[in-house]
Formats: sequence, C-alpha cells, structure tokens
Amino acid sequence: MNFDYPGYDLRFIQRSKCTDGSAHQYTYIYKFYSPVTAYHYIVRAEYHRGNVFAIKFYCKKDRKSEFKYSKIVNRGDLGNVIMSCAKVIPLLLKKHPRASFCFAASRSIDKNNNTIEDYAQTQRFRLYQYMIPIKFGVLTFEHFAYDVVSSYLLYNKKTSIPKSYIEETLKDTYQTLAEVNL
Amino acid sequence: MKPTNKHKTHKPSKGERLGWTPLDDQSSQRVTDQMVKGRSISEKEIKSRQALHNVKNNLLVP
Repeated sequence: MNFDYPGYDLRFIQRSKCTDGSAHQYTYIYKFYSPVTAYHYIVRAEYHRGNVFAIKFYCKKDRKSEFKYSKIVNRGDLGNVIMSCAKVIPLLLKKHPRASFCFAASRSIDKNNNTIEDYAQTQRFRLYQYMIPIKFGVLTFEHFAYDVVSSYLLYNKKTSIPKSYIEETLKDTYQTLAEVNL
Repeated sequence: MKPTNKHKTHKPSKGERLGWTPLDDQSSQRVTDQMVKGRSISEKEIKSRQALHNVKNNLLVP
C-alpha cells in the first residue's frame, strides 16, 4: 500500500476554547464527508501549551459514544479517511509554522464480545507508523514513535521548544494510559 | 437436548481471537517518564521508505 489516496476536502467548523486549566488550550474542529462510507467525520486538532497539536478524529455518528475514537466503522475507504485527517497538518502549518503534531492511536473496541485492544502498538498505531513517514518528510519534522503509548510525534525543526517539554506536557495532560488512548 | 453445530459455525471475533482486555476492566497504568521517551525514526529510514513507495514528490509536507 503506498497511501496514494487524495482524501476529501476539509471544512472548517469552529475554534473552541478549552477552559479546564490543563495544557490543552483550544481546538480547531473540521469536518469531511466520505461518499464511500456515506458518513461524516470530525477531525479535532487540539492545541496544547508547547505549540503542539494533538490530532484526533471520529465518525460523526459515534459522537455521543464515550468510545467514539475507538470504534471501527468497517465500511472501507480507510485510505481516504486517514488522508483527509492528515491534510489538516499542512493547513495548520500555514497558521502555526512552528507547530509540532502528535497522534495518539486509539485502542480498537470489539463490540461483539466487549473487549478492547491493549495499549502498546495498537493496530491504528501500526498504520500511522507506516503511513506518516511516507507522507511527511524530514525537512520540516523530526519523527518519533512511542510504542508503549501507541503515539507518534512530528517534531517541528523550527520550534524553539525542547522535545522533552512537549513530552512532559502531554504526560501531565493525559496522566493515565486510558486517557492517552481513548 | 438438540445438538448444536455452534462449534462449526462460531467464528471468534477479533477481540476474542487476540485476547483483548474486557471493556469493563477500567484499571489503567499511570503514564511514566519511560513511556514518553520517543524512539527516533532516522532520516535514512524515512527516506528509504519514501523511495520504496516512490512518493518523493507526493508528500503532504516536505
């Protein structure tokens, strides 16, 4: 698979403030539609102290579920859905040229027998780890993988903020593994 | 009792097959310093993967 998918156009919805006192300051929310699955998807780019965005997405039909990030839609079109989410990064770089980007890959849920995937190297993480280096080069970012927490960091080479500060911020914001991956 | 042929038709779901954790098990480890120590993916590794997929001019961000 070479991930040669065009993805869909993102529509900006709103910027919503976060006032919980954590390092998470605000969120840009985008939306796109897949004609293949016939579902809308929501992409959230959560801006954190340290000039780092955490990118998340879910299928809009699951918006009320506490497991919305973990549900498997299972209607195909995975390549275009993932590429549509990835397209948020060049958009955000126009506004925040020194920003870094973090992806915490959720644990999948098997609703047939009410089980959830383990934390390390989730199937989503394995996909991101495969796809991100193919679509994001080394001129703008340094790439880091976090196998135990199934996360991936694109660390902007222009930032003056040390990587350790970003890691510490994310650790303080998401204190347990369940918070990171759900 | 009527014999069933469940043993022939039952296809275990993914979570069952891979031994995933029950959903109601809410125990969770605290994130430690060790867990947020990133493993660097080298430029060489990334470039070789890009060359393998012939995506040099097709990057979202260079």
